[in-house]
Formats: sequence, C-alpha cells, structure tokens
Amino acid sequence: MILSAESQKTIDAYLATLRKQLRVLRPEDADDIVEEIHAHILDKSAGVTAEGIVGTTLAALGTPDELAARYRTDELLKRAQVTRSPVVSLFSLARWATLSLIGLLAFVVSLAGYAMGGCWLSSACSS
Amino acid sequence: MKEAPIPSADNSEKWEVQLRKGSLELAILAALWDGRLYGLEILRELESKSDLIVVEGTVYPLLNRLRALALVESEWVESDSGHPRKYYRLTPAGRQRALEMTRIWAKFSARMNNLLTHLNEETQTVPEEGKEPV
Repeated sequence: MILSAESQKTIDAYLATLRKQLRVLRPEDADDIVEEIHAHILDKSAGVTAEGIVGTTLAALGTPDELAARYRTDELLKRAQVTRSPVVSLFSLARWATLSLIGLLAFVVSLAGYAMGGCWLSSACSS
Repeated sequence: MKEAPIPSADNSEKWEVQLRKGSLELAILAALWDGRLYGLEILRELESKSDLIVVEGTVYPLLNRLRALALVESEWVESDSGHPRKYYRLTPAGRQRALEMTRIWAKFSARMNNLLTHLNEETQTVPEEGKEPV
C-alpha cells in the first residue's frame, strides 16, 4: 500500500501529538499504544484507494488529545484501584469530572466527603 | 456552566449510548472467547455481530484497560501486511470474568424482560410515532 506524502505527514503528526500527550504513562507503554494505533491506521487504509481514507480513520479515533485523554483517565483510575491512595483517587476523579457530567457530580460529592472526613478527624466538628 | 434543559429525545438517546457503552467490556471479552484477535478484528467482529456502536477511539483505550486489569494479555505478531499487529487473548482471569458477567447479564435481562412484559405488549399494539404499524 502506498500512502501519499501528504497522508504520511498527517499520520506522523497525529502520532507525534498522541505520543506527547501520553508522556505521563511509562515510556514503554506509551510507545506500545502509539505503535498499535499506527498499525490500526495502516490496516484501515490498506487496499483502499479512496481519497480521504486516512482522514476518516483518524476522525474515528478522535483527535490525538481526546484519544490520549481516554488512555490517561484509565491509567489514573487503574492507579487509584491499585494504590487506594486518597490523593490519587481524588486526582483521577478530578480528571473524570472534566470528561463527564456524572464524573463532575461524583467529584463534588467526594470532595464534600473528604471535607467531612477532615472535619471529623480534626474534631473541629465535634462539640 | 449554563445548560439548556435537555429535550427528552436527546435524553433517551443518551440513555441508549450509556447502555451500549456499558455492554462494550463484556462484548470485547466475548469476541475474544474463541481465540486471539487484533484490535481491528475485534472491531469488525463487534460491528458484524452486535448492535453496539463501536467507536475506535473507545475500543483501544478499553483494551488497554482490560490488559491492565489482567483480563486480557497482548503480544506483537509479525504479519504479511508489512507491520506487526498487537493481538489480544483472554487470560484465565478474563475467561472467568466473562462467564461471571454473562451470568449477571442473563439474570439481569431476564428479570428486566419480566418487568417489561406488559410494556412489550403495548409497543406491539401502539405504533412508534411517525411509523406505520407493521
């Protein structure tokens, strides 16, 4: 399969942005993800002569920032599950909150929870 | 943040999206039941066999998460296409999880269908708005 120089450039730019946005992950994990997405794009455009197949494929993946955000959210939730650290949990909830309304609600509720917990710990609320 | 009230048509569409989204994890595990597949094969399998709206930008991060949870494992395999492909297969934990989810799904949908019996009869007598009765 031969991609036009322009298509090649579009793909390279997409993957470069994706890699940059994944820098919070372990380097080997980020490389692995970029490699997989690259293979996906090549497979989708294989044998397709139609102009614009690369554009359609990239659109289906979302922008590199959106795609990276989904990987990062999963990564943070995963870390929260493993560590159960309240700080990491809160941080990942904050990320989730930026992505969905339900997440935002969960974030606000948990913030209130943290505040109440803090209050209780410091006995400031007890009379 | 100011939001306009959501019209009910949009709302029901949203519900459908959430429903499909929630089913995706089980659908992926089910697609891998018979053996290893790479990402695009999983996508095609789901598209042809399920009613799911399969968004590529959602499936790949989800595969990554399933791998992090050790429900699937992956390996790079050389291919004739000129580039290697990342194949996924179920781990023993993944097979167990798939069965567990299937049990939950079956029980849930059976009870839900039970609850919906009367409504189901209604939908067969009352045609959908704008559509001719079948």
